[in-house]
Amino acid sequence: MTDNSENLDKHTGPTESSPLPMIIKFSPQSGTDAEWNEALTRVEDYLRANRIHSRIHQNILILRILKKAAARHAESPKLNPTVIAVEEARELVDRRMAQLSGLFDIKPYRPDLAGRVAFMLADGPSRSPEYLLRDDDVPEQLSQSIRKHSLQASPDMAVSAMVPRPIDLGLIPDVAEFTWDLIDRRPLLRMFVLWAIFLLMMLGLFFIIRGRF
Amino acid sequence: MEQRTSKYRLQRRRITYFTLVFITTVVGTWLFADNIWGKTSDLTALQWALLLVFIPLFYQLASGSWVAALGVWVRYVQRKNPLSIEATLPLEKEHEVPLASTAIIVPVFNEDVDRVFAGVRSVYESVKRTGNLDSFDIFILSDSDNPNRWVEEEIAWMNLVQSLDAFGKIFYRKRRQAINRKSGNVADFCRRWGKRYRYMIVFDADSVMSGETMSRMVRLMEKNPQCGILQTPPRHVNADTIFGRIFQFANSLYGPIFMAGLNYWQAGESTFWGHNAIIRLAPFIQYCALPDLPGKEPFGGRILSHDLVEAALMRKAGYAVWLAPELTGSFEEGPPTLVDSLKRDRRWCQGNLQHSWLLFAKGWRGMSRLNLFQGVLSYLVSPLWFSFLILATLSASHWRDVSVVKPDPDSFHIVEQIFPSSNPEKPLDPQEQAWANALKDVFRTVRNFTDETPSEMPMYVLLGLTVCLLFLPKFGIAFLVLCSRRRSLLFGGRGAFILSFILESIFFFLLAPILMVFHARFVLLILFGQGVRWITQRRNISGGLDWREPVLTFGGTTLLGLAWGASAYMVYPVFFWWILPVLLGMVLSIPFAIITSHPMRYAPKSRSGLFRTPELVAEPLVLRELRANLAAMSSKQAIFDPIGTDHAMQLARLDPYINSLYNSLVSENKSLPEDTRRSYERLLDQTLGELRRNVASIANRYEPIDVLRADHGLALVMLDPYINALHCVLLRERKSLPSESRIYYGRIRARILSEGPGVVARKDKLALLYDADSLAWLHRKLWSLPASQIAECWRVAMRQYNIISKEEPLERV
Repeated sequence: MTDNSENLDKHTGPTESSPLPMIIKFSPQSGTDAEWNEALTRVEDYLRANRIHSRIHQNILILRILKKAAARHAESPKLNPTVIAVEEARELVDRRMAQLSGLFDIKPYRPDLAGRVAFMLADGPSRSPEYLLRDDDVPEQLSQSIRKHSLQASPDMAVSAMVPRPIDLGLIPDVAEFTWDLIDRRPLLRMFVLWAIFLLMMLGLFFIIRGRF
Repeated sequence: MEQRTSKYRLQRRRITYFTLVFITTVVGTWLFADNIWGKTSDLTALQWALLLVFIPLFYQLASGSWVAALGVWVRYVQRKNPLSIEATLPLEKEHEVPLASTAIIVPVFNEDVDRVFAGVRSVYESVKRTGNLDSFDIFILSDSDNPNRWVEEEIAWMNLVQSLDAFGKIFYRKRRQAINRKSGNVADFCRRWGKRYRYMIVFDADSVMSGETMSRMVRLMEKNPQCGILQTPPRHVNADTIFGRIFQFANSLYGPIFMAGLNYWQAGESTFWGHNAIIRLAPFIQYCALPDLPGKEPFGGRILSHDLVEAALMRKAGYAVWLAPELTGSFEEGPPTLVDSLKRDRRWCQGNLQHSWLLFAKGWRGMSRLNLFQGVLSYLVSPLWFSFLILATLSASHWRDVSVVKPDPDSFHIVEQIFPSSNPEKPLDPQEQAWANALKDVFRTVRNFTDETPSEMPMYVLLGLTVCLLFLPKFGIAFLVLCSRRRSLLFGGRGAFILSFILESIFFFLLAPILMVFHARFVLLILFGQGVRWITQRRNISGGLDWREPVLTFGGTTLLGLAWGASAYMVYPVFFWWILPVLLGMVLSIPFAIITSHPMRYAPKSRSGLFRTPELVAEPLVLRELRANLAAMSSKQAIFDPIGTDHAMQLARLDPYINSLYNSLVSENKSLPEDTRRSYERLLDQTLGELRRNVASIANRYEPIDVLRADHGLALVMLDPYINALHCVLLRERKSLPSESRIYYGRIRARILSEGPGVVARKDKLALLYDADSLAWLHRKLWSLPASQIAECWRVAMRQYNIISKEEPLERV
């Protein structure tokens, strides 16, 4: 929070020509400009995907994330700055989201994911966009909203046994099933049966046209 | 005492109905037999075959006509049916009966997500208006195996719950294994949550029911504890093609009469159609689980048309199955084109023919057997009719030869058959001779009266009888509508109604032979072991069918009609003119299918118009809301249409900000007063204009993400942190994964990241969507890997993702 406050303190105030008059101090000790630019772009995309639409919030977060990433990169210069920066961004977001899951009665399997869904359902990105910028507890307004908007895919199960009871189909289906099964297992027999049906049909047709009962 | 009276009354009704059908069938058969007897001195094998085929056909015709006649009697003469379930709870006493916990279940399988959720929204709002929301929960039970549809459903469900504030009231369940199709889906619900509810109301994906209707259904069930299933007659609505509109018109015009007629004699042993019905869950769970039939599909295996069997099982368990013809507020949608209607018929045909196994099962009630038999017969009549026409064509040459022979003016073949006097070895005794003479006198009188030849008279009477059975109920119902100004206004006024009625009659006149050919073909294919796959129904179509599909589907039917006509003309020109009406439908099947698939949308402001129905003229609120919801969704799509680039559409799909923004605009829009709404709409138009410009500018700046278009569901789950979280949270927790599975998932994940989703098979993508760990991993990796290590399409997608939301106009909104 201190880092963030420092930056905010240095605001000169918005003007028509410059909507974001923020002094940015970022001078990584390792990595190239191109690498850090790629990292910045990716973090920016990632924050937008998280519905952080406010430019001010975006920039504050990006700066904080990149500073942390730069510190880590100085210790392990072989790592890609993009990887480190997005890991930092994700860690920040996940931590705050997991914190939200503490509001649930039952601890979820994946606290960060459950918290993220809760944050979205509570319209967190629009109503409490500053939540990600802070390190303190969940604001009361947001926690109330999350408790109210808890997503439930299904109610608690009340299991019943729905077991099919056999239907006594009588003798005809038994014979039919036996015949069907027999014909199915023996392709030659099947062929003869089809021939016989065809023959009977032709005979029937002949009698129908020519014959008399 | 009252129960005994009801039983006696029902018995009397059934005796009346079956006697009427029996007498009509016997008279028709007698006339037909006399007609063919009149042509020759003795019946040939061909004529015997004709007679045998004629009997079930005429029975079917007679039973349908008498159902309609009884329906007219109940609705217009009797007016109030004392043996209906609705009579047990008068409307004014309805509120004395408390409601009970009820689940509304909506099974879906790769359906149009917008339509399904627009319907659920309307239903929810309708229930909310009744103030009975506490008694109802809604479950969307998905069996969708299309990855895109699955993800779309999840997002739509979340949006719906959020916008309606329906947390804990609307639920979504995706089944991992879609065993036993729709009935398996419903059974799965019963096993998991059946005990929580006393009733469930089963919907189809296109069903809509009003809150008042559903509340009344629950109360009727509460009032009648022995009722296991209560079926409403759903009205067809929302058709937007000529085909659909005519079916909708016929359904509204004749449907209520037929339902009333069926209910008259079926009473508590009615049938169940699988949707728009309420079911008592405890006996359903206990007695209605479906076993497999012997043998393999298509005849055996899993029961396809589960509804009739479930009704029979419910009856066997001692519970009644009622139809409630007077209950309004229950709606469904029909197929938009002839091709779609035939695809549906193919499935139903297989399902109904499977019931042949069950006809002789032990323990069924007689009425259940009859219902099953009627179901089988409804498809068997087509091959029977087809055979009848073939046999008639074959016998035409024979008739041509015999018709030139002058019949003996004093010969009476039927009398000769009953009392054969030509055998010198066995002369008739005086009593038999007296009967024979008396019969001859009767026939002579009739003959003299009609002044016809002996063989032609029965034919004309039979023709008259058939025409009466076919058209009298139809014309009778139409006449009753015309008699009342109020009723005719519900069909668009007298002029529009008459024109619609004539066109509808021509439509069904041409349609019947096409259905005959196709149903006969379906029966044959099923008999030869060709089953059907479970496919999603096409419930709407824009712009009508092109030529290709109808030509491929109906080319054979057209050729058959032409060849048949030519043969009939060559054999006996007189017969050709007799059979021409049937051949006409077959020959014209291609243009018929194309023309009737053309759009025919309802224009509410136009006062006159064809194929109006009461639901169109005085649209129920729940349907009005459904239309508004659908219009809102389609206008969301229309934002991007003017740009005309698929890329823009793709971006729009990918951008959750646009989706959520528009959803919130639409939901707010509905609750505003009229003047505010208008000014709001202006603002909306302005915003949409800006949106269009933004999308257009992006479409010019970036290359389309073709690779992702086909896999937008998976792309959303991988890209969007919230949708990824939602999808993973909805998946069942997995304790451990076998090493083979881990290797399998690892391989797919690596390919998707490095080569894009297009290179992976659909079943693999579907498998991946079931694995929460893989999806969380993919999401993490996709965002964190350097650009050089992921596929080009992902790089572009990440850059373009949400780029529209960055535009200033949206920020202002």
